[in-house]
Amino acid sequence: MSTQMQARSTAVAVDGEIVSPKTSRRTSRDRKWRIKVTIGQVVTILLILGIWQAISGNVIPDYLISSPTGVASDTVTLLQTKTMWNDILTTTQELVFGYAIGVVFGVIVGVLMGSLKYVSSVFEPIIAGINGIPKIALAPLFLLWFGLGIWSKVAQASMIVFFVMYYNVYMGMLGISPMLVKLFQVMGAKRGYVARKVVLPSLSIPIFSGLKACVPFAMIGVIVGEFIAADQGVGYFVLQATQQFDSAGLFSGIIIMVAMVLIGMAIVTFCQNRVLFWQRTGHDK
Amino acid sequence: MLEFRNVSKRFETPGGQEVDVLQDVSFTVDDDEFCVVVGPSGCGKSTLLNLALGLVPVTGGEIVHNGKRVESIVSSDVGYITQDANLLPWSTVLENIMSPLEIRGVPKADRKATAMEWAEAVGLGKFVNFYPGQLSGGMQKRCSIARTMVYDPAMIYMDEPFGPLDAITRTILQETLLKLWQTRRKTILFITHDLVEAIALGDTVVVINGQPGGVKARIPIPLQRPREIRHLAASPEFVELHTKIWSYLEPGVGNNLGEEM
Repeated sequence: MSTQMQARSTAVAVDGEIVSPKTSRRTSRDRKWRIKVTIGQVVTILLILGIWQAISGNVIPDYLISSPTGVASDTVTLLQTKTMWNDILTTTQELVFGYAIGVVFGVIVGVLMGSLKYVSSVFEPIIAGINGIPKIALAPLFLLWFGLGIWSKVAQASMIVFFVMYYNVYMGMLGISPMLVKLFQVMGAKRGYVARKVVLPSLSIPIFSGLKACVPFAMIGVIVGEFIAADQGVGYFVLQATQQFDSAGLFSGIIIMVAMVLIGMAIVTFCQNRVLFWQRTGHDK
Repeated sequence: MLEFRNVSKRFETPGGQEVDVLQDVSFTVDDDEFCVVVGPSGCGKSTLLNLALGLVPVTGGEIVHNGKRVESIVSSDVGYITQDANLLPWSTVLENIMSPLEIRGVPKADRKATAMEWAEAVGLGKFVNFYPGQLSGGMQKRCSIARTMVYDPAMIYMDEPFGPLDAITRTILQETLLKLWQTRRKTILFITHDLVEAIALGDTVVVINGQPGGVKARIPIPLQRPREIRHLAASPEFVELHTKIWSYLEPGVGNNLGEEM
């Protein structure tokens, strides 16, 4: 552990964080650039919100698009109600279980397919065929199998997540350098050692790219499930709001969903930075 | 001792055609000998190494390593240094050098001490906590040499290890290798397409040429050791050897160019 920490601090030194005249000049130019970019982004968002506010009620009726101020006040009010937090809790549960189940199975199947030639020859076209099903079309089936509660949504989400994860890991398995594996075999390494020290770390990049891609996919699965049939959840809330022509509520629900996805992405990114520290340190290649 | 006895290798292309890469190759590498195999690209010299290591099977003849026929991956007491450094990018220099010791179950404290010694020996003492991605190509190569030397294999196979490096780094690393080999004698089978490198390093140069590749000559290099590689090219003995080896390469080189165009 201590050597790892040491390594990370040297890495920072090598990456050019040592303050020399040359690097500090570069940093100040970088900062100016970043400020310019941020200003551009803020202006764009303000412009969109401004146009939205201006046309709401004047050009397009309020019940169709609400307005930024309406959505903002609605969101604040909603977040103070107990039912909204119940909905968020339900959706979070569905999201976490669906994501986890899909990821675990995706990794297992991906590794099996990547390491056993017979298995991949038999199952690759079959899995591709199943992946051809528009997964959303299965929602009624899941409802039938798993009922109105959270498990039909969990099934829907994990079904979508599984395929994304599986393809990432499978392709990652095929991308492992055969030369590196052979070299370790000549060095005397047994299967277990190669699996732990060569294969698993090689897969860390495809696994994390899969983990990132899957967060919004899991949300799609959950929301579709809630749209089909549910009695709680953020998706259910949005559907209710729509049926009552409450466009402010609808937008608030969407904002809450986006926030949940972003939080999920942030958690994955946090983990990624801890695991893939060796990757960020490269400056040579 | 490593013996090639009438070794042939035939590959099948994806199109179903059969290509002879090596035909009837016979030569012997003695214990503690630095044997260099030289030949133009496409003559099958890297294949020869893969056969000797048991990474691919021979289609004719046999390879005998210390009295044992090579039939599967050779992993006892041999080292393998490839053209790419092939380090673990997620492990530090020290962890990379320690990995063969870890495989051998050496206690952790000893592992670290031995690996440190070798990191120093190849000039990476200050870089033990760096990751391979932070090192130059030459330093990565030094690390891969240390990773092999650390477990003291009796025989080392090297497949154009200095090929991708610039001329200056290459010469310095060749000198480092010779210095290490001088202090710790080992049997080395070294593959290269660089004639100067072959003469500078080897006790013996085996010339492989043609398609399929075959042994054209086995030339002893009587140059005195220790050798100063950077000054070697100026000596008359060197020039003589260079001319002699070239004469075995010439006809085959013509063929290769013809095929490549």
